[in-house]
Amino acid sequence: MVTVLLGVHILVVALARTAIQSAADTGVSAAQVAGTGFRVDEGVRAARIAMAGARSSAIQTRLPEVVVKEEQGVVEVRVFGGVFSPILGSVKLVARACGPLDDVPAERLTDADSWQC
Amino acid sequence: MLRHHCHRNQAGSGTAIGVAILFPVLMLVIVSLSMLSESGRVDQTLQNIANRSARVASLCCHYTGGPNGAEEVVRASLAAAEGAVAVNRIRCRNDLAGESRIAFEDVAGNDVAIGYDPATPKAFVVPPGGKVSVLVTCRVPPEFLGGFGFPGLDVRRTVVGVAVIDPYRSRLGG
Repeated sequence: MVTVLLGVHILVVALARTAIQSAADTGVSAAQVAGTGFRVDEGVRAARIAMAGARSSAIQTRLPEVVVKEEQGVVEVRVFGGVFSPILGSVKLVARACGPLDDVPAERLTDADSWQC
Repeated sequence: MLRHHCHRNQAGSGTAIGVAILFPVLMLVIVSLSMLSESGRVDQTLQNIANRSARVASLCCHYTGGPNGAEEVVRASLAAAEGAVAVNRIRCRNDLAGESRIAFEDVAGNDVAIGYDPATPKAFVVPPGGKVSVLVTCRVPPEFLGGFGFPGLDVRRTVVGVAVIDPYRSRLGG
């Protein structure tokens, strides 16, 4: 019985992690495209919509966080989700994703700093 | 009374044998599930890296190659994905940046050469309206697949990220 529950736990957490990571990636994509001043709102909105779409895999526990580092040319998104596991009960997960902003010039993109969060 | 006792003993040993047979099978199922979930996570990370690289290559540069060209930017993106401080770091047993491939296609579907030559600059311009594909291959260390190291297990994952090149964007770099 414990073995079956362990298997279910692994599956449920894996699905939730995938869903939350996808939401973080979606948030980054939206924030990259949005213009200056709209990046945070667009990133949060996109991540929330992605999380709402993945409700069968994970639920949103907190609002996503979007941090735009203009001087570095990077946007970072954190998405907070949770899922019920038959072994551990409520499991909270955090996914992070980041990427360079669309208007970063090419000479800066070849620098490693533009890819660090 | 004695016969009843014997029956109970036989039933108990039968259960023990059943558990002894089932236990390795169930463990195998759990290990397989764990490996599958980790494999899925690695796939997701790799696909995201390829998509991100293709997208940046489609936006960043004027030339397909050369200094600060699209190819160099893609390599920088892939090298950063392997970096120690990268978010969702990917670990491969091969050179992720060195062994990846990038290809440009114009609107008609013809391949565009990668490079930069001041004598013939138009030959290497990123084709507006075309597409860029980044093919990423990673040999995943077996110990990252569920935390179990099966000796001799060579897992190779290849993903392709594709992005359409915006024809209305002005490109100054590279």
